[in-house]
Amino acid sequence: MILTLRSEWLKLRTVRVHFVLLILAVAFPVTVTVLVAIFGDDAETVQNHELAELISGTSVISVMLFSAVAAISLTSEFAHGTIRPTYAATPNRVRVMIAKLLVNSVVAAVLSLALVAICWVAGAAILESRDAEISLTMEDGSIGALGGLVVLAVILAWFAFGIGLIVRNSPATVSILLLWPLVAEGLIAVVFSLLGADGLFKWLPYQNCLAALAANPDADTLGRPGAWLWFGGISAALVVVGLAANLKRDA
Amino acid sequence: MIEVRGLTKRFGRIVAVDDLSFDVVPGRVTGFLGPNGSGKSTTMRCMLGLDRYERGSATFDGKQYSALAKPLHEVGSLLDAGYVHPGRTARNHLRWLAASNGIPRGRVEEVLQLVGLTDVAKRRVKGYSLGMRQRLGLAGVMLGDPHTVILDEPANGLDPEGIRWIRDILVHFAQLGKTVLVSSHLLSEMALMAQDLVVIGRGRLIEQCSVGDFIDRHSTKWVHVRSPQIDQLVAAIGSAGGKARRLDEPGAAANAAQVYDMPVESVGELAASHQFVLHELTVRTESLEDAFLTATAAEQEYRTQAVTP
Repeated sequence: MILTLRSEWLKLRTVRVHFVLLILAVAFPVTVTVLVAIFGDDAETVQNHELAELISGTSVISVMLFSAVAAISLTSEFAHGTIRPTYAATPNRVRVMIAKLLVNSVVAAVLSLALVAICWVAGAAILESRDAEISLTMEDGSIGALGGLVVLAVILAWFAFGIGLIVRNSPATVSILLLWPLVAEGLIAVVFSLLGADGLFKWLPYQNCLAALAANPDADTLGRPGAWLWFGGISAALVVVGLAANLKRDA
Repeated sequence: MIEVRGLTKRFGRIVAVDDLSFDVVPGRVTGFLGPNGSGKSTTMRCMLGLDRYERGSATFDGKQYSALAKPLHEVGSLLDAGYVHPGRTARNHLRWLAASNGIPRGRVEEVLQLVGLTDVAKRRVKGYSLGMRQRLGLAGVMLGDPHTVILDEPANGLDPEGIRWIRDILVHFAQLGKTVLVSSHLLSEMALMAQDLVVIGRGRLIEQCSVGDFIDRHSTKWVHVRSPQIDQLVAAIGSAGGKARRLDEPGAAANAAQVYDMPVESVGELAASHQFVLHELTVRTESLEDAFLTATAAEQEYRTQAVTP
């Protein structure tokens, strides 16, 4: 397994488009956080949880890009046919896919953690220079909001990987990744609303995970652990289905 | 040694490989021939476990490919030179392959040197010609110094020097005792490098034998003779029970004839007994290409129309 992990790590870091996407993903929320901290009004009144929510809110785009990299790193193998030399070098397909998933999960977790840390340190330093009092605490939900982003990054990487395993096509996978949160869950919410079943909103996995990024999630959601377990469970199920399909299909 | 037994692969209702069995022995280059769509590439993919098949088995020294812990040390394969990420450099392509089987990084440099790509190893593959990609693919084959080599159309896109290099290296592999299975449409090349043939059509085995036996069985032999008294010689051969035809089509040698149903020795003795002068007396055989076309005539999936000038 160590050899397969090393090989998959090499693959991920030796394609320039992965780097470009990851750098863009990290740069965007850092830039937004710094600009808001510098130019925002009433800086001295900004509280910990507000900074945390600013960071987690703007970083959702970043974790979506991390998930796109996870998906592309897989689907491009099918697009370019490199999956065949991959399986020829490591005939155990499950091992290959688990290694790929682990590498992408660790990359998503480490980068989102680094992203959160950079944004927090930069934002807090600037706000404190503008007379705000910022400190990272558990009590006001700041750590929960920031930690939730790291968890969401890993869950989205699994979600993307699962869809990629099933679809095996880069444009289709990335389209689903974007359409699911932006369109599909919105339409489902409208249907629930028309049916008068507003209580079902909390079962929309993506929206629920976004709600869990608030410092204090609303009471009518599944809550932080519930949202993570629900979306994480769905993503894990997609990965399992994808793995099973790939065991049966031709490479 | 490769042993394929009863291999059967379907794509929906189409049987791509039909109960195919053959052996590939070490120390010889075995050519894998068949018309377009006959199932050669599918067979190779099934052998490597890349395509799932319905029945049968393919083993390498008694083991299924999927049972090989570090396959690159045992079987080197090149199915398509295009199976590389265009955004990755040649060196990095080989490095991930090497890493997957615990092959040291130094070996990557060795094989780059062997295939002549060291100077361009830092370039991304999307800038490579087909010939350079073939060389990169062959570098991947050689990474683990395997005892079995499987190549699908390795000479595609190579220049004459590259084709000769492929031929020399495959013959060298065989001389080292390795098992070599190679498919190619360049039948003249195959005739030069292969000792054995596996010929398939519509997924079924047509024949497995040596190249010499295959040509003997599926091609015509004749005696080519040239003489200033060719008309008299043709008449004498006819009288002696042979069949001779004077060549008079444009481009044919002057004063020449083809003789069938008579051994070359008899033609020579007949000419001597009549004191005919001979300028040439040779046995001629159709090429591997002719033999291949004859053997697979009934199994062609896609037929072209004859071109008339």
